[in-house]
Amino acid sequence: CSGWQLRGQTHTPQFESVTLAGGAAQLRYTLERELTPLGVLLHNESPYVIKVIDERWDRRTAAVDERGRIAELELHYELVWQLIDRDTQAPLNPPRHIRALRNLAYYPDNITASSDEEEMIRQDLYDDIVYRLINQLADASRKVQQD
Amino acid sequence: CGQKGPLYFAEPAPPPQPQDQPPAPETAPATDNDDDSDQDPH
Amino acid sequence: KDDLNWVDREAMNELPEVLQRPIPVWCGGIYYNPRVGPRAETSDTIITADQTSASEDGLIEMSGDVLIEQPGSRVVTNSALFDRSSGKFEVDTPLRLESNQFTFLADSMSGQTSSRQVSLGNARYSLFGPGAHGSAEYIDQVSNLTSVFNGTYTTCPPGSNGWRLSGEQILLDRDKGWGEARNVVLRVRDVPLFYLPWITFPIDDRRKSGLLFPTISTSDSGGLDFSQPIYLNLHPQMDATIAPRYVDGRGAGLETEFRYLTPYGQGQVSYGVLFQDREFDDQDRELAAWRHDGSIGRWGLHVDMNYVSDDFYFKDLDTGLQVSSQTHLPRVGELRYYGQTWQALGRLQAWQTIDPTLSDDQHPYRRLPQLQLTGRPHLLGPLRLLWLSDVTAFDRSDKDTSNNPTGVRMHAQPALSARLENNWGYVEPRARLYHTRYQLDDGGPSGSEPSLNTWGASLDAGMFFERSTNLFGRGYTQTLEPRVFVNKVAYEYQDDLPDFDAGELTFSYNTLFRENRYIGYDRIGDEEKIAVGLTSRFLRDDDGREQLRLRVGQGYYLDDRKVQLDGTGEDTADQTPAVADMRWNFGRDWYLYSEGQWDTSGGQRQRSTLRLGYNDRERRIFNLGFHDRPEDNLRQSEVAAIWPIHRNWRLIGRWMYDVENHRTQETLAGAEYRNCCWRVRLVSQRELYDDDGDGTLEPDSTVMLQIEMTGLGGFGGRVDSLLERSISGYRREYE
Repeated sequence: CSGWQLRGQTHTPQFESVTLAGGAAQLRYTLERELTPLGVLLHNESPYVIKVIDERWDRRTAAVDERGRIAELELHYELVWQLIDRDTQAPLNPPRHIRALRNLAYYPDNITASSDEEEMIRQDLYDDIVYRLINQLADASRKVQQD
Repeated sequence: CGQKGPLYFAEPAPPPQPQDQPPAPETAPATDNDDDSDQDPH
Repeated sequence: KDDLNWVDREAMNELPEVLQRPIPVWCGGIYYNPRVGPRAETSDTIITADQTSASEDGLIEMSGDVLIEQPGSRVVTNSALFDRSSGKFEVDTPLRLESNQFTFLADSMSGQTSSRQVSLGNARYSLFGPGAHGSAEYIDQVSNLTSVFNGTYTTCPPGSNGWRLSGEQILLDRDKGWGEARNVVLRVRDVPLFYLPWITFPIDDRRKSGLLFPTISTSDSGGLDFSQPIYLNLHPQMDATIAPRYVDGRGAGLETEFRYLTPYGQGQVSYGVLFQDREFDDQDRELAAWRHDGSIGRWGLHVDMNYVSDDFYFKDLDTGLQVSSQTHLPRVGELRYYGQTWQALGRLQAWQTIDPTLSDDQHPYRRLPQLQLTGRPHLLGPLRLLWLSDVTAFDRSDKDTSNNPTGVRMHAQPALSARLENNWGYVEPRARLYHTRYQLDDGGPSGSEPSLNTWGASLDAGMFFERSTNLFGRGYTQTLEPRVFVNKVAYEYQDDLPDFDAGELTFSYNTLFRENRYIGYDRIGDEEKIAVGLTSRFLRDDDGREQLRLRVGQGYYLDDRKVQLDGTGEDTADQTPAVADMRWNFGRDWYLYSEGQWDTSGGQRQRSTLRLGYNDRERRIFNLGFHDRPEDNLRQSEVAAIWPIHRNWRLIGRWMYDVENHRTQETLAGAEYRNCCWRVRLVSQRELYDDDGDGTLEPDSTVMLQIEMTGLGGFGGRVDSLLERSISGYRREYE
């Protein structure tokens, strides 16, 4: 059909390595795990620095049951990052906001399972944010390589 | 009257978080899509 | 018109772009003087006047349109004496002294240029930093310390009598960043309100110890409630807020919060107490909590310890559905290691159950400890070992009367995976073994050491297509990502095994592609399923941002599922619900997330969720939520907003409606008036909650008022806490 082709470099940053400055250990782990198969290393001496300007979790009751107890939980994660050139410390793109949001059913009579599921969904949100961060990083890397 | 505000690091920000040294190039992990490996195809 | 360099919006817009400074929308202007540049050390003085005469001993007399200019300051007057040898000067005609920090108008002035010391008689002043102005019998200024004698201080705009401090001595120290006044009277609209022997207040945005503004509230459950926070700026990385509190119907108490920031993590310790609560047969009510989160390289530390003295602490002494809906308070400490190949978790977890309607056997287990190891080491080429092992000791509180078993569970889940992937696709076969062994303290239906062995296999494959396209007149790369996931988990009888922490997953697109349909390791759900999914993303060409994502998927079962949680009969449905979700980030600050599931065989609708949000990270927030879960007959909507309707006015609102039971679960209605020197917030809140543990909901309403005098500090209090909890995206002033 019209114009469809196999994906090229859209999801592949054209950097040999990047450094992550700031952010939680889980974000670093997820980014490293997703960058490795793309051939991009994550370490502290890269000329390109992903600076985490803000990283924020929000957890709130989205719905309650007939007794007013938590029945639906909303997890909301927001990351604000910027690509910085290590030597000149000059920003290579404007600050970017990435937001991810998920709901899960919460059962007061099985709180251990609900809290484990919450943890699983937190990792899902990190996976989702990192996937989109890599797309933006790939785009930024193509532009940096051009000029 | 007082004024509350965000906490911040007094001295300059701590050195970047201690992390293992970057793997030297020759020991870089073989990525899955290393299809230009130089093994002899036969 | 003010003559102390008050620049209103029009005047600001007339200035060249580079010289313009932002004016807060709720204020008509700011004190600012673009004509005078910053101070320079080596500064020669340019003097222009109609007549100037210089005597031999270096005394210069000037008169008629005198202008004395140095980089960083200007003096305009009619006559002046300047002694070049001593640097002293004398002005006894009305003068104007300007710098890029302040403006002074006075009848006389004397001073010494080298020591930057100046005294002004019968003066009026404006300080640009705090945006403050006033008058004084005389003013002494030495470099950055301005001493105002028998004078006034306010941050209200010119001509406004919003509030004013007047007193014998007001010292404003721009180096330390705060002012100190003795024997002052606070006047509001010219009415004297307070006499204060001594007061200090901030004159820039640095943190400073002192009283924050009180919050006054009244509620059905407690009557009048007065909280006066005292802020202690202990160290750039530590501070404390102690808020004595008096609740008319209950008694006196205290709420304290200690915050800390270290390279190894940040956290907060809170303690609240209400002494001899008259509504709780004179018992003390207490809350204690410690929250810590730290990331050091690959290590992550998380602590969340909570204690309340009774089940109703939050419902009686706090406000908002977010806290009153809590049923369990976590008591957890966990250390995680995120290695590139191996990851580890060590956790101690328990809960304090504060839901009186839960019976003992519904209380959660304690995990003392839980040790988990996961890993993905390379074996050969694309072949990897996927390792997961978990050893957890399950315990119950000694007051537990249920005969739920306790003991240790050891679970191992080794798997082989061979993932082949490149830019446009991947295929990953996996073969897995599941082994669980229990050591129960006092036996169960299948002895004290039951075990489970089963196996599973899966094939996960996906492709990535893309094309350039156009949407709303902008270039996008659209992707099309088909995915198929075939999963087989062999059946093993598990009804007699203990169920410590197994649970049903909230069905969503992601759960289609999970190997075990249960969370936890007590149940390995047998399954023969083929799941197919299709994802399409629209990535903006200019920056790669994902503006829109659409997903649709469904699973088809090849066999019935025998393993069920509550031991009911087999699940014979031959397909999962179909699920579709959308995430759309449109405009600069809007986001829409919606998900729908429907049972294609029976045709009824299952879960659906809609969540719309707007947040410009400045003054506007809007949230809309709709949650529909027919199987739990739960259908609720929520709309919340903080929206400006005028330069000085913002409305605050939240409405959470229970569509299923036709009742309003919580409302929040409030308004904020804000101008240059005042910020007043009045919020009324009403919620339904189970106030005595009998399972029925009773209403409780609260009205909260906080008045802040902008320019005299503040930023904290119960209104901020309530708004942060109730309105997703709201941040207090300094955040």
